[in-house]
Amino acid sequence: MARERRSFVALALVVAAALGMQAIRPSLGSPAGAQVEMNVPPQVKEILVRRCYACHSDQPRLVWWDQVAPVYWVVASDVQRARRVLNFSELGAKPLARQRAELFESVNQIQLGAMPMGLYLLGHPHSGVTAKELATLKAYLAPFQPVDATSVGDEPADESVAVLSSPGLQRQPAGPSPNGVPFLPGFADWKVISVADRGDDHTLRIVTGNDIAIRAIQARQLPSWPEGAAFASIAWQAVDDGQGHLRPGKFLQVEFMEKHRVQFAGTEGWGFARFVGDRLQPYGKGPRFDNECLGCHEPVKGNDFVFSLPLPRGSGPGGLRR
Amino acid sequence: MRMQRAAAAAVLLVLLCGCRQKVADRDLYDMQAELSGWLPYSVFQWQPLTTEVDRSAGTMETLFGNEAAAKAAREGVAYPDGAVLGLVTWREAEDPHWFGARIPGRPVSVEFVVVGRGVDERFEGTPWKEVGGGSAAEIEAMRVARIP
Repeated sequence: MARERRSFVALALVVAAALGMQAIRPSLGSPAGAQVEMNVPPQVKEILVRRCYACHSDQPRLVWWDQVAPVYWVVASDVQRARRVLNFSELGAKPLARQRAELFESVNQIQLGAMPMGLYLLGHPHSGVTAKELATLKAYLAPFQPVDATSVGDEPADESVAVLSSPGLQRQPAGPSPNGVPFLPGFADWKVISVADRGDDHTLRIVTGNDIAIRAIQARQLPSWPEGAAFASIAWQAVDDGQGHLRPGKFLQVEFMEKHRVQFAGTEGWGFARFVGDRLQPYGKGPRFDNECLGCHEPVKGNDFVFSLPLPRGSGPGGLRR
Repeated sequence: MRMQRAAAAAVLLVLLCGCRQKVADRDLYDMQAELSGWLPYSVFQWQPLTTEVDRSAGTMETLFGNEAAAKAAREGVAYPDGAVLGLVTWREAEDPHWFGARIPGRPVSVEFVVVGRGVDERFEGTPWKEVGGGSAAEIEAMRVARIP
């Protein structure tokens, strides 16, 4: 009898605790910014609403089991994080180039299987983006559409004349990166890792790597990049001559990734930094801005967070070289 | 019995290790863009000076320079006699890691120009076959991408 009563009390306590937990509900109600949606065709909007808005909007869509604490706590914190990264209810207020960049990143996160997140799919089966939906998004973005006359750039006057830097004069950024990741002035003298024609943001890029990175490619030791390996992704505006011939125009930015497992343990062993424009202005607000870098690089975790596929080196028959 | 179990465990272990497959080279490197076979210079040991795209031909080309050429480019002066330029042309390929990017696909040609010596060698095909050059003037006139 006494034993039964004890288990009844225990059960009652558990129920009370479970009910009590429901009272603790972080709010998902109040939007942070102005409600401006992007101006996209209805078939694109529909996919975004169906597949992304559940978390990435100011109108989160929760099913009943999302509403029950403690699941709700996880869901609420995920939605808050999702909105901080990308909020479709407010994205329309951002510049067009930024909107386009966010859509490209979204498509890439979906394509590489990083979105929707695995845990979300577990709790919400059949909520993944279908191949057809992905194709619709890609067709809308159409990165390599021929440029129209208005976006054909002028021939940059003295812009791209060969002035890399004066010898002996150390290249210097306008300031340090907010996360303390060092600027590596030798990046323009490094060897090539790869090159890219970026239709998404109309840039041409050369990715260079320091000696440690180059040796790792020669030794075929990827995917794990060695301590001290560093890359620079150098971006120029792509100038179209109107005939589909693209040349680098204005220098836009240089982005670094530097591998130091202990020093950059908080960002998977990689230090990220970006320096923008001719003044090499450091990018980012606050010491943890690099979570944005890591978030974008997350889908290529299997390649040690590096997007570039390096040009193979030194495995050919070689032969005599002058 | 014990031996059998140990053997079975060993086999399982080998199988399991086998399952943790090494990532294929094609997922780690841009394998199709490899410049394999003999060429007169190791062009990837040089500095990249610029990169251009021909959308209608579906190709991209990167200009490399040996030390003398890179130094002149850096200083913004004319290439000295004996400086060597190498122009590598690839077919463009979709970047498997980024929708919206194209990266080097199969090589189309490599052309070397020795400035002031009238040397212009162009290589095409697999294996490389030397064909007549003839783009020396265009290659020497390519503008180097500017870095602040």
